[in-house]
Amino acid sequence: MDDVDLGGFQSWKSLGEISGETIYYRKIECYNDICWNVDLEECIVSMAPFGGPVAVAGPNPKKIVQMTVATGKKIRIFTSSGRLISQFSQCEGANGTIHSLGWTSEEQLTTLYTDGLICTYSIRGEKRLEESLGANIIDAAYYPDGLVVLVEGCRLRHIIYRTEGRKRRLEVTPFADVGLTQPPHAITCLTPESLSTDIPLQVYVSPTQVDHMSGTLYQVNDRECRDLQIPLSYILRVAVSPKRTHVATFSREGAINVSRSNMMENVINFDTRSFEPPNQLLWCGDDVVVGIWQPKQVKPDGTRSVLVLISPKGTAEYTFDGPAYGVSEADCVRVITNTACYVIERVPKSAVSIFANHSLDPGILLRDAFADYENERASSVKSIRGLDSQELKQAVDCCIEAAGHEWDPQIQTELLKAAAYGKCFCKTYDADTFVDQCNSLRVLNAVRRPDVGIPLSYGQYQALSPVVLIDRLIQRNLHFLAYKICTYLPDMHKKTETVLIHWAKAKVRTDAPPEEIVRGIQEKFQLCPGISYKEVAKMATAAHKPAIAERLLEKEPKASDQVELLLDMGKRDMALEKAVSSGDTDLVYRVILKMSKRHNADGKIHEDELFNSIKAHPLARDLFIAYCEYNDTKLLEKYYDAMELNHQLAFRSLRYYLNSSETGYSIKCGHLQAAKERLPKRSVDFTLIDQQETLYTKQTTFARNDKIKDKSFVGESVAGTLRLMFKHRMSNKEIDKFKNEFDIPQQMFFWVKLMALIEFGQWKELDAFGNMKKCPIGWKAFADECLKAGRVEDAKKYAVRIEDYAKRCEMFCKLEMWAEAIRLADDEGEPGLLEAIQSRCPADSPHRATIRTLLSRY
Amino acid sequence: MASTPLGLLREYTQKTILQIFDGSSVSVLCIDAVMKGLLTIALNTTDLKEALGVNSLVLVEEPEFSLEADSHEGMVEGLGPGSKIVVMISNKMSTLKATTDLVKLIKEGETSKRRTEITVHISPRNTTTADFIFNSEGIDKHLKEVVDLDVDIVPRNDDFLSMERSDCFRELYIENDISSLYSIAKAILKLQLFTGPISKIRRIGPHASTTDTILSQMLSETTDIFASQPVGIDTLFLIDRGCDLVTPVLYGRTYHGFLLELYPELLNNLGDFKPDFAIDDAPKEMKLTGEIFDSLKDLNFFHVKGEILDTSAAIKEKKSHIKKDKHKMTTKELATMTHQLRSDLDLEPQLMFHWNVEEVLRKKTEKPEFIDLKDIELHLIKGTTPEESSITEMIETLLFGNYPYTSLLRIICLYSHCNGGLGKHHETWKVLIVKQYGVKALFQWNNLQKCGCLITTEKKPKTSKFHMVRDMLQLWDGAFNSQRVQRSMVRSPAHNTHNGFSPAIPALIESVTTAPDYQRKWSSHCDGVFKHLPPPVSPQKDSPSDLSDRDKPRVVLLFFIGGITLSEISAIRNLKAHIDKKDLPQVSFLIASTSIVTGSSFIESVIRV
Repeated sequence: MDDVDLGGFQSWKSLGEISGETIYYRKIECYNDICWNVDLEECIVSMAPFGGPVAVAGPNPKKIVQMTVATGKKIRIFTSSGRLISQFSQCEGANGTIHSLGWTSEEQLTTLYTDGLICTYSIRGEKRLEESLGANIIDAAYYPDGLVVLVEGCRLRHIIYRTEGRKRRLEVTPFADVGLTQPPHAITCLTPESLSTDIPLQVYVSPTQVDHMSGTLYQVNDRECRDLQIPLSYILRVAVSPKRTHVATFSREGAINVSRSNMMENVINFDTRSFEPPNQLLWCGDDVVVGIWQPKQVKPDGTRSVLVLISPKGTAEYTFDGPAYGVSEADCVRVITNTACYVIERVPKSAVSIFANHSLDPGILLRDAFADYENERASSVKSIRGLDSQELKQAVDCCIEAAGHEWDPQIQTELLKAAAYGKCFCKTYDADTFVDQCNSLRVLNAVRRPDVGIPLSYGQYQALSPVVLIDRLIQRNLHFLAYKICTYLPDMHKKTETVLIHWAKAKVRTDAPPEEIVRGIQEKFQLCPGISYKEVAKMATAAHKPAIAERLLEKEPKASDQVELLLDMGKRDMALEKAVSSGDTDLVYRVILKMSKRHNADGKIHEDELFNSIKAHPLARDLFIAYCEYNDTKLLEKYYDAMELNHQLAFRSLRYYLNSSETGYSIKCGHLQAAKERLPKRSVDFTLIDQQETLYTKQTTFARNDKIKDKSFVGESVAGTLRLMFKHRMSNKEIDKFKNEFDIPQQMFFWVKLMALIEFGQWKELDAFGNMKKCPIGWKAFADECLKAGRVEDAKKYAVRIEDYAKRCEMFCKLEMWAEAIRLADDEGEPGLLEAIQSRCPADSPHRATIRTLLSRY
Repeated sequence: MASTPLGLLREYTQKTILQIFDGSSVSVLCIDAVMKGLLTIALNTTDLKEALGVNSLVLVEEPEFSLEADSHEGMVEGLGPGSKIVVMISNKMSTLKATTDLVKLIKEGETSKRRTEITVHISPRNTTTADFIFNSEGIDKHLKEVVDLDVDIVPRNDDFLSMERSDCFRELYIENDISSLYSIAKAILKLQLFTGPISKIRRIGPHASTTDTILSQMLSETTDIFASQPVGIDTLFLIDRGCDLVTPVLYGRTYHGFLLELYPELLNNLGDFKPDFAIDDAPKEMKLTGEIFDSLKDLNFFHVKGEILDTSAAIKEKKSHIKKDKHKMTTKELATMTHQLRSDLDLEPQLMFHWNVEEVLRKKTEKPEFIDLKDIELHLIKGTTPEESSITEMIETLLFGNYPYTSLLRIICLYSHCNGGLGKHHETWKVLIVKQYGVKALFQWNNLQKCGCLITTEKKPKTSKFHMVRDMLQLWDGAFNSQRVQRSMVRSPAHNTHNGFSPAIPALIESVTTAPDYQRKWSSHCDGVFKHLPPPVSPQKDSPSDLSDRDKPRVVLLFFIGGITLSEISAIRNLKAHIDKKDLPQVSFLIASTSIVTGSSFIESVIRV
C-alpha cells in the first residue's frame, strides 16, 4: 500500500476501497513548534475531545524514568497548541500520587489519586469538587459523565458527576462483583446515550489468567456481571467506537479484533505481529481502529512512536518523533507529540472529488474553471458551460462542502471563491448554505489559531454547537473572541449577555481599582440593554468587594434580583428601600418577612431594627400592618406600642371587644377599659367607648334580669336597647332614666318609640303616645309608619294633624282621602296641588269632575 | 369579537383556565369571589361546575368558606381516594388565610384510604407572602404545588374589561395594601401583548402614579414582544378612584345604573334578569343583553320609554310602508325590506320586556324614601339649597327614621364633599350614628374618613373643592330635560347620566381628548383641575406636544383603579357616539377597571369591619 501524494497537499493514505470508492486518510499538522516545557514521556497526559485542552501531570508512576525538575508536583493544562491555560499544585489532601486524569463533557478535569481521592478542577485550575473513596485505586476508566474505578479488593465503583441546579456533586455507587482477585488487564466503559436506571452504564473487564476465570471478557453493570464468551485469549486492551456500535480488542497474541458491540460478529481480525500491547487503543471515527505504540525507554537516537490505522480493507502507519498521545474524536483522532499536534482524519468525499488527481467530478471542473478565470483564460466560461445546471449546482455544493473540511484558510478561500464563481452561473441557488459555511469557517479559523488552540473540525463544530463553543471560549477567558462570535453569528445575540457577565465576573476578581472595574463593566454592559448585573454583584460579594457589589446593584434592572442580593449581603435597609421604590409589594414583604424572621441570641425578633426600618417607609409600614392584621396581631400591638400609636391600640382593643367570642363580662369590659386608657379623656371616641361600657353593663343586667331574660340586649346599640325596652314594656321611669343616661335626643327617642310600638303591635300605647300636642318628628312620620304597617285608620288620624299643608295633601292622596285632599288644595288656593291630585286620582273617580270644576275657576 | 385583540385575550384566558382541568379529573374546585367572577365571564357560563367538569364548587370566602348547593362537610365526605382538588384564588391576604383553613379542614377529614391531591393556583402570581403563610400554618406539605395563574383581566364586552376585584378600593385606601396595583400593572402589560404597545401614559391620582412606576419596572424587565399592529393604544389614562369620590356615592341615573341600584345581584351574574312582576304579554325573564338593551342601557332612565316608543314606531312604520308600497317596490327591494322587517320583529319581545322593566323600576323609584334621597342628592350637587339647615334636617330624619344605612352614609359623604367638610356636624353625626347603629359604626366612620369618602374638616371653606371642580369642568348643566325630544339639549352627552350632572372623569377626558390641541391641553388644563381633586396630585409633565398626527384616529384606554360606575361607562360611550357625530378628532375608547361599583357596593366594601 503506497501513500498517494496529491498535488502538494497532505500525504493521504489509502485504506482500501469500499463500494468502488477509495478511502483516504490524511494527517494534518495543526500546530508545530510546540513547547510544553515538560517531557510528555515522563507525564500522565489526558486530552479532552472536541479540540479540548491537554492536561499534563507528573510523574507517571508507570514510567520507569527519572522525574525532571520541570514536572514537579504540578498539574498543567494546555491548549492543543501548547499554550499554558493554567497550572496548579496537586491536591494537598492527597497522600498518594496521581493515578490518572480524565475530562468531563463540561471540560472539567478529574484527578484520581492512588489513595482514592478524587478532585475535579475547572479549566482555570479552580477546584470544584473533592471526594475520597477511602480505598486505594488499582485502575480507572473514564467516560464523559463520570468514571469507573477498580479499588483495592478488586471491587468496581461507579462515580457519576451530578448537577442539580447550580450545585455539583459526585455520586458513588457500587458495581456488580466480577470475582477478580488480581487487577485485570483492562477496563473500559461502554456509555449508553444517556444514563438512566433503565439503561445502566456497562463496563468491559478483561481478567488476567491468574484469576482462572472461564471467560476473557466480561460485561459488568451495577446489577450483573456477564461473560461475553468471546473465543479469544486474554485481552490486554479494549476500545469502544464513538457511536458504541463496535468494540476493538487487543489480545495477548498480538491480534486486533473488532466485533459488533454484541460480540456476535467479528469484523476485523488483524495480526499486529507484536506481543507488546499498544499504549493506546483508539477509534478514528467509527470506521478505523488506531493503535499507538510508544517506546518504553527514550533512546539517544530518538525512538519513533508508531500509529497504525486498521480498517477491514487495509492498514496505514504514521510515525512520530518521541512519545505520542491520542484522543478519539467523533470524526478523527487527535495526536500530540513533544513538538506538534496532528489530526488524522478520513478525507471527505468532497475533498477527494476535488483534489484527487484522477477525479473528473463537477467539483474539480469548477475549481479548474475558476483557476482559468483568475488567470484570465477564456476557457473558463467554456468549462462552466460544459456542465449542465444539475452538475453545476453539484459542483458548487461540492466546493462549499470541501471548503468546510479544509484546515488551511488559503485553500478554504480558493474553494469558496470557486463556489461563488459557479454560483453566478446557476439560475437559482439558495445562498444560505454558502453564507452559513463562510460564517462557520470564519469561526473555525478563529478558534484554530495557535493563541486560542481549539483544533475543531467542521463536523465537531456542528456537533458541539456554537453555543457550547462560546461557553468553552469564556471558560478560557477568551471573552473578546467569544463576544465577537456572538455578534457575528446570527441568532447568537442572546449569548452576548453570558459572555459579558462572565467577563465581568472575571474582571471583578482582578486587583484593579474598584472605580475602574465598575466603570469598565458599565461601559461594556451598555452594549447589551437589559443585561443583569446580579451575577456580577454576587461575585463581587463573594470576592469580599461589597462596595463594587453595591454600585453594580444600583444598575441592576430587575428589582427582585437587587433585593435578593442585598438581603444576602445583609443590607436589609437598602433592600427595603429598593423594594419600596420598585412598588412591588411582594418584594417589600420578602424583606419584611426576612427581617421578622431574624432572631437575636435570646430567640426574640430584632424588633427595634424591624420597627425602625419600616418606620422610614410608609409603604413598608402599611404592608407590615396589613400582614400583621391577618397573621400576627401581637407583633402589631408591639409595633403600635413602640411607635406610641395610642389611637390604633385603642381601636385594636375595641376590635377585640367586638370580635371576642368570650362572653365573660369582665373580659369584654377589660377590652373596653384598655381602649379607654389609650385615648385622651376629652375626645369623642373616649366618650363613646365609655358610654359603650355603661351600655354593655346595662345590657348584661337586662339580660340577666329574671323578669326580662332576653340575651338579645347584649350587642345592641343605644337605639336598639331602647327598642327592646319598649318591647318588654319597661316602666316609663326606667326608660326615661335610660334616655337621660345616654343623652338620647328627643327626635331619636320619638322615632325609636314610634317604630317599636308599631313593630310590637302596642296600639294602645301608640294611641297614648299620639295624643301629645306637639310632635318633634312631625305627624307625617306617624302617618307614614302606620300606613306601612297597614293601620290605615290610624294613619288617617295622624294625617289630618300634619302641619305642612302640601305634605298633608300628599298624605291624603296616599290614603286615598280624595275629598279631603281636594278641599285642602282649594282652601289653600293651590291649582298645582289640584293638578297633582288629579293625576293620581283613579280615572273613574267622581272626584275628577270636582277637580276639573275647581281648576276652571283659577 | 374572536379575532379582535379582546377576543384573543378572552381565548387565551379560556385556554389558560381549561388546561388546568384538561384530563386531570378534578373533583373539587375551591375558588374565591374574584376568580369566580373572572371564570364566569371568561367562560361565559353561569354553571362553572358543568363548564369545568368538577363535582363540587367551594367558595373560599372570608371569614369562612361555603359550598355551593351542598354542605361543606359533604364536600369532604364526598371525596374519593386520590381526589384532586384545585384551589384558584387571588393573592389577597384574607383569601390566603381562608385557604389555609380550608386545606386544614380537608386534611383533617382525610383517612389513609382517602388521600387528596391539592394544587393551588394564585392569580396573578405566587408570592413570598403566600409561601410564608402556607409554611407557617404548616399546610405547604399538603400541597402538591403552588403555581402562578395568569388570569387577571377579562373582557366583559367589546369595550370594557374587568378584573373583578371589587375590594380593590378598600385594599388600597383602607388596608393600605397596594398589592393589587401589581396585578393591575401586570394586566396592562398582558393587554399590550394583544393590543400592541401603549404610546403615552397619563396618570390621575397617587395610585395611578404607583401603577405607572410598577409598569415601567415591568417593561424594563420583560422580554415579551408586544403585538405590533392591532389596536395600538395611543394613550392610557390611569385613573385612581380616589380622585373622584362623589360619582360613586351618587345614584345611577342611567337605565343600567338604576337596574344595578335596585337589583345589586345583577352585578355578579351574566345578566339573567327576572323582574318582580310583569305585564301580561311581556316575557317574564330575559338576559340583559341584545340589541335593544345595548341601545337603552346607557340612556338616562327618563329617556328609556321614549327610545322604546321610537323603536317600536319605526318598526310599525316599516310594516305599513311594505303594506302600502309593496306594489311599487322591485322584488329585490321587497325581499330586503321583508328580511329587515323580520329581524326587526324579533326585537319586539325585547321591547316588551324592557317596557315592563321600565315600569317596574319607575314604580320602585317613585317611593318617597327614594325621592327624598334623589332630592337631597341633586340639591347638594347643584349647591342651590337656600338653607343648609333644611338639608341637615333631612339627613337627620334619614338617620333617625331607619333608612337604609348605606344610603344614609352615601348622603353624608356627598354632603361632606359638596360642603367642603362636615364642619360642626362631624362629631354630632358621629355620636348619633354610634347611638343608632352601635359601636361598630366607629370603625365604619373611621374607614370613610380614612379613604377620603368623608371629609371632616372643622372649618368649612367658602366654596368646596367639589364645587370648584364642578364649575371648572362644567359638570352641571341645567339644560337637562327629562323629555326625550329635548335630550340632546345638554352641553355634553355625559350630563344625561346624572340628570344634568356629568361625572368628573369622563368630563375631564372629554375636555382633553376632544380639544384640538390635545397634547398641550393635558398639562395646561389638568393642572388647574387636579389641585382641587382629593387627594391632591400633580399630573405627569409631558414632553412638547406632537401635533403632527392629530388627525390620526386614536385609541384611548381608560383604566379606573378602584372601580368604575356604570354612569361613567355610559358617559364615555355616549361621548364616543357624540364624537362620531360631530366633526371632532377621531378617538375610540377602551375602558378597563378593577370592577364595576354601585353606590351601595362601594360603601359596603369601604365600611366592612
